[in-house]
Amino acid sequence: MKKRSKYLSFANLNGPVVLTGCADLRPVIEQVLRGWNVSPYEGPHQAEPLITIEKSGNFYIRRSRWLSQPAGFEDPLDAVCDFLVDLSKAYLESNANMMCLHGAAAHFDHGLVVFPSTYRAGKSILSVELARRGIRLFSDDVLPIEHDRNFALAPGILPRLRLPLPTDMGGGFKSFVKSRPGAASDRFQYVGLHHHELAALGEAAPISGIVLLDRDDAHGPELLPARASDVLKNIILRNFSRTIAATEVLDRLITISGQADIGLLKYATVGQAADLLCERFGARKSA
Amino acid sequence: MCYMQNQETVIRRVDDSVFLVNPATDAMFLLDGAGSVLWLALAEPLAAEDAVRLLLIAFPEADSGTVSHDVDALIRELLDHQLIVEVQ
Repeated sequence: MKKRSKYLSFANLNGPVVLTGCADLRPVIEQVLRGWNVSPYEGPHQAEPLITIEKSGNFYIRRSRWLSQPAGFEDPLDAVCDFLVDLSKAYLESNANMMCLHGAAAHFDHGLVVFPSTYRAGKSILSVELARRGIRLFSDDVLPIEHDRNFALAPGILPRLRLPLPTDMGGGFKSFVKSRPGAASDRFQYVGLHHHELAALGEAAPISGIVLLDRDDAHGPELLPARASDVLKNIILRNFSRTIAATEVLDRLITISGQADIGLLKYATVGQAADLLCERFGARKSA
Repeated sequence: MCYMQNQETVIRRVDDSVFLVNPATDAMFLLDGAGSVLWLALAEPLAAEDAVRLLLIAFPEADSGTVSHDVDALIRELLDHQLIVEVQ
């Protein structure tokens, strides 16, 4: 029997996403995205598909120009999680001269603060904890940077937590997560933040702060000054702007880090980190 | 044989670090510490032995054998990526 293909048109992309024999992924994809303006339709599209996912046996097989070979996943949520990597790349490619940093970002009273991704920092847990404290989340993972003003853009993707949740997170955090259910598997859970808690795709803000996270169980909480060169090294390593010349990437990142309040946050628990960040950058009251 | 910075190399100094880009290959490099000191010295033609002497003055506690080895390795890498050129 021939499998049915469902085309998904995204307002911000140059081509469609095609789901073949796996229409069950569509509600999950739509649930984890905010502001992406997805329109499903049956027929073929004038433009070449950017990403295809086909159900084959027990596996969801994804193909795209960003994959050297097809990627297969048995769990539908794992398939969607990994699909979002390609979706972010498709978004970048469809929007000329956009850079992208790997890291989280949240909008405090004093402005948008970026947390470049570092090993074991718990940036997704921190992101959700900040949202719980009324700070509007921009991203817990990737952060597009627009071309003309170097403003950060919200990617419009729900934060994703790795399961099980850390045992040191209190009951308030667990209740918050429970009250905002999202798609989940044995390994991951998306947190269905309310609309005022998560910026939708394309919402823009200048970068006011960049804070390097250094989780160290033996170290008391401290927000220290950081050197611009250390911040630059960190964000250059974690930028994935393959279509922009390296000199332009470097100069734009120097400009961004030069205009931002930069710091190094040492902490043992996410609660400590959130306390210090709210004190330094201002805690927005819940809407 | 002396070496010096390739005039085509894009150079950005931030604090005491030096970020380099080869515009032909779009490859980016970072030099810190002794590497950035060596890079600054390569603004003028410099022989490897003179580079070692310079770094031993800047870092007197360093082991001369290690410095010599590291200078050779760095010069080779900078040459490989056309960030510096050979001069007579």
